[in-house]
Amino acid sequence: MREEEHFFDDINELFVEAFETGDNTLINSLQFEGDNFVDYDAYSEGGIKQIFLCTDRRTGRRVAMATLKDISNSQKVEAFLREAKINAALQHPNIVPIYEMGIEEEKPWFAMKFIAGKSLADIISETKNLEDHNSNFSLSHRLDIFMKVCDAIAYAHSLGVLHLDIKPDNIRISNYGDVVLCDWGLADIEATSCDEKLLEFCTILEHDLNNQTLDGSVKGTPGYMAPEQTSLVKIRKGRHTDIFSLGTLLYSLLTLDKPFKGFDIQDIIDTTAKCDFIKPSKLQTDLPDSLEAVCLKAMQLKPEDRYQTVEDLQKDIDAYRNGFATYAENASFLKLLKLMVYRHKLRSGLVMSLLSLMIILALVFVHNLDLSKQFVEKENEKLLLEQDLYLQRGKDSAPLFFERAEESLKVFDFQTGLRFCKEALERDNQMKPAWELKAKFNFAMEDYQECLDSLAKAGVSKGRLINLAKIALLAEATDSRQEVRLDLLRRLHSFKDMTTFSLLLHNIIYSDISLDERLEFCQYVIGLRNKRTAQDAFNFNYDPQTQSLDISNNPWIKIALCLRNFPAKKINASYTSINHGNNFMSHHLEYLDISNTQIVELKSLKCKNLKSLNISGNIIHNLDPLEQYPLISLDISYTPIKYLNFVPKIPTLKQITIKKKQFSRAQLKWLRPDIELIEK
Amino acid sequence: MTDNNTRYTLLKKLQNSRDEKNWEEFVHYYSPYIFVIIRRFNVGSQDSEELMQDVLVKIWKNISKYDREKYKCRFRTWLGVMIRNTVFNFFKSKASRNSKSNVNYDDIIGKLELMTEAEVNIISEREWKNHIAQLAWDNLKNKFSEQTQRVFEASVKDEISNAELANQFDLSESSVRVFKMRVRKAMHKEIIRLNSELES
Repeated sequence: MREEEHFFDDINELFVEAFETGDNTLINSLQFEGDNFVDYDAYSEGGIKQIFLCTDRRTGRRVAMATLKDISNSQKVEAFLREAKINAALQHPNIVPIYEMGIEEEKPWFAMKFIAGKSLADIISETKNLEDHNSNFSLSHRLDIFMKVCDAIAYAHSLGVLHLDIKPDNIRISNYGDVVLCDWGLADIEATSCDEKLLEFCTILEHDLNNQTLDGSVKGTPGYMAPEQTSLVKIRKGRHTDIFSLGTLLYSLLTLDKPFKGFDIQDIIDTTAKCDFIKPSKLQTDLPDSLEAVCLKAMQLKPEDRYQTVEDLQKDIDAYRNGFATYAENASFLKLLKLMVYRHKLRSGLVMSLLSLMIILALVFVHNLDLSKQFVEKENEKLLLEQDLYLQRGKDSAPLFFERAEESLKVFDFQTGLRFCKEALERDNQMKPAWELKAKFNFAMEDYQECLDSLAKAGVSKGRLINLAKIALLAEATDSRQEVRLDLLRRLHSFKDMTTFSLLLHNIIYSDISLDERLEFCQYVIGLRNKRTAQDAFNFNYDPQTQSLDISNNPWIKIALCLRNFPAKKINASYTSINHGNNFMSHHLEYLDISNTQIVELKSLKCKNLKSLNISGNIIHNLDPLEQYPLISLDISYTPIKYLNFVPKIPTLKQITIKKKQFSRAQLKWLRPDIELIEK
Repeated sequence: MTDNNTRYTLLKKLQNSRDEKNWEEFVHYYSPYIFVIIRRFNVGSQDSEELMQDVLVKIWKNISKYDREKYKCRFRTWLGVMIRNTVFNFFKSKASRNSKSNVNYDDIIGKLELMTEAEVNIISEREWKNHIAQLAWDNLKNKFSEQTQRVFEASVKDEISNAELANQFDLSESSVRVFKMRVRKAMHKEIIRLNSELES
C-alpha cells in the first residue's frame, strides 16, 4: 500500500508563502500586482478625516493613512488635499512627515508616518490620575516636550505656515522620545512671509474668513484656542495666535488642566474671548514663578503683549532652565541675586564670607545694571527694526498678487483677478498700479461706484475711465441696463479704446442676459463694430424654435465677437467677411456654416460640441484642428483640400460633401464604408 | 516558469526523448501527486493503485501530444482532467460489468459527472502546492539536524506557538524561532526551484 498520508496534511500555505514573501530576492518584493497599501485597520476617526493603519507593501512598514469621510463636497476635498500639501511642505523632526498622497476611486488620501505611542492628551490625563505627578512625567520632561513643539512651530512660522490648532491631542509622543505635531487641517499661510510655493494655499476662500470650518463649527479647539479665534474678538490671526496656543499648551503641561473651561462650548468661547482663566499657580502651588510668568505672557489677550516670536518664548524657557530670570517675570534685583546664588553656589559662598568684597560686588552690580539697561535699549531697537522688516515683507509680497491679477485680466478671468487685486492691496494699500487695475476690473464688471473709489485711491483724478464711470453711474439711475451698456460701448468705440471695449463686452456676453436683450445687443454691437452704413442691408434672424441664428449674406461684417457664448445651436454666417474662428466660441453651437467667408484656419474655432461644419469656398488647407470635435457632417467643397487622410482621425464622421473631381480615386480610399459622400 | 528557455523542464525532456531515465524521474516526481488526486475523487486505495497505473500509461502514450500553447493550460490542469476522465471511465465499465452488486460505483460516477473542470482545477492546484511542498521537504529534510526537523514538522502540523514548541522540545523560544526561520527560508527556495523544474 502506498503511503498517501503526508507528514502534514495541508502545507500549501508554505507554497503560497514561497512566492509571496519574496524574501528570496529583494527586487521581487518591489514587483507585485495590486495595491501598494494593504491590511487596513481602523485607527481613529474625527469629524472630517478617518485614519487607518496599513502596510506599505514596498517598504514593508506600517503607515497611517488619512482619508476624507465625505467626498461629495468638492470644497472639503480641496481643503483635505490642501492640508496634505501644507503638511508635506514641512520637513522637521517634530512635524509628522507625509509620505505620499493620491486619489483612489475619487477618494483622496495621504499616508504619513505612524508614531507608535500616545497623544500628549492621553499622557496628561493619565498623569492627572496618579498620586505623584512628577514621578514619571517630570517637569523637565514636560519642558522637553514643550520645547520640541516650539521648535516645530518656529520652523513652520519661518515658512509662513500657521498651525492654528495646537493642543495636546495633536501632539503624539512615541516611547522613544519622538514628539510630533500632527493635524494641519486648520493650518493657514501668511502670505506676507511665506515661501512662494506655498502662496497658492493662502486662504482666499470666503468660508475661511469667518473663522468657521466647512462644517460651520468653530475653527480651533475650544479650551486651547486664542481669543481671536472666537468670532467675538476682531483681530487678525497670525503667529501670535499660535503663540497663544503654545501658552495654553504650557498651561496644561504645568497644571495638567485646560486653561479655558465652561458648561458648554459657548461658555468656553466666552471665557476664551475674555481671556479669563485661573492662574496656573492657583492650581499647582509648587509651580516656579518664572514658568508661570512665561505662560501668562504667552497668553495675553492683546497680541502685542504676547511674545513676538516663538524663539523669544523658547529663550525664556531656556533662561529658566539655566537658572536665569525670565524676561516675562520682570525679575527684581533680589530674585536675580537669588538665582545667581543658586547658579554659583560655591562661589557665592566664598563671596558671602568675604564681606570686604561686598563693595566690589555692589560696584559690579551697578555696572551690570548699566549694561542691562544698554541691553534693553538694544533689544528695543532690534524690535523696532524687526517690526519694520515685518511690514516691509508684507509689502514685498503685494507685487506677487498684483502680477497674478494682471495675468487674470489677460485671460478675462475677472473674479480671480479682482480677488488677487484685493490681496495685493491688503498687503500694500499704497500700491497705485493695483488700485488702477482694480478700477479696470470694477469697470469691466460694471461696478462703477467701486471703480470711481478705486481710481480715487490710485490718485487718478481725470481721464476717460473716470468720465465714463461717472456717466454710467448717472445713467444707471434713469436708463435701462441695456441702454447704459450700449451707450458705454458706443463711447468706447468712438474713443477707439478697444481694450476696455472688449473687457466690458466680455463681461456682458458672459453675464445673465435675456435672449431678447442679447439679440438686440448683438445686433447693435455688430453694426457698431463693423461701422455699418445706412445702405448696408442687415440680415439678422434668430429662430427660437430651432435655436438657429442667421447672419448670412452680410458682406460688411468682419467682426462679430459679441456672438461668443450665444445660446444658438445653429449659426449660419456664410457670405460674410468674418476672418477669425474665435467669433463663434461657444459650447452651445452644434451646426456652423462659415462657407464663403474670410476664415483661413480652423485652429481659432473653439466650439467643443460642433457636429456639423460647412467651410465650402474658404481657403482652408489644414483640417487637423477638427480632430477634437464630435463632427458628423463636413462640407469641404470648393476648398483647396486635396487629401482625405484626415478622415480616420475623426471617427464620428458620417457625411462629407465635396466638389466633383476634387479628390483622386486613390484618396477616396480613405473613406470608411459608413461615410456618405455627397458630390456637388 | 521563466527559465524555460535555458533549462528544459522535466516534461520537455520527456517529450523530446522518451528514454528510461527521464521516465523514471517523471514517475518519481509525479506518481504521489497522481495518487493523491485519484484519492481525492473518493476512490478506495486498492482501486487507486490500479488507476494510477492506467494514468501513467496514458501519460506515456500521450505526453508528446501535450502542448501548452495548444491547450492553453498548465500540465497539471491537463493531467487533472485526464485523471478525472480515467477514473470516470474506470467506474463506468466496472459498474456495467457487475451492475447489481455495487451501488457505490454509481455514487462516484454521479459525483464525477457533476464535477466541473474548474472544480477539478481547484483540487489539482491545491494538491500541487501540497505536493511540491512535500517534495521540497523530502529533499531538504536531511540537511537539518533531527531536532530542527522535529521542531519544524511539529510547527507545521498544528497551530502551535513558539513558546509551546520551546517547552515541548526543551529549547529556548529564540532557538525555535531561528530553527523555523531557517527551514522556512530554505523551503521557499526549494519550492520555487521544484516548481519551475516540474511545471511546464
